[in-house]
Amino acid sequence: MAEKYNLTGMSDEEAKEFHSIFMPSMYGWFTLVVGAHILTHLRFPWI
Amino acid sequence: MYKIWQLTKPSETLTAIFGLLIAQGLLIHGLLLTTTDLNWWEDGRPVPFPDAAAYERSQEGLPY
Repeated sequence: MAEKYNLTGMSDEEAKEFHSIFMPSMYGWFTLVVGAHILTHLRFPWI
Repeated sequence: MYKIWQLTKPSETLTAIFGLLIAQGLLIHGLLLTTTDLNWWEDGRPVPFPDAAAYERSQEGLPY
């Protein structure tokens, strides 16, 4: 389905390049958030 | 999976994600600060310096 639509006008190469930056950034953010929750729970346990 | 960027504009997607994350963060922090149990600003930890110093003086039997 996605092959039929290109609403943003991005080429495959451009989409792959942005995706290669976006995904590690997202996982980095998740790692940061999980780490912050672990540290916070060590200091102020809420469970 | 990368083809998602041919369906949604990266700039608009990033703006939406940043906006939502900031709003969510402010909302959750605000909610926690309105509670009694989870408010980390007014829970007395760590003990304020004047109170800690007064406790140490009393433990050592100092009169002041």
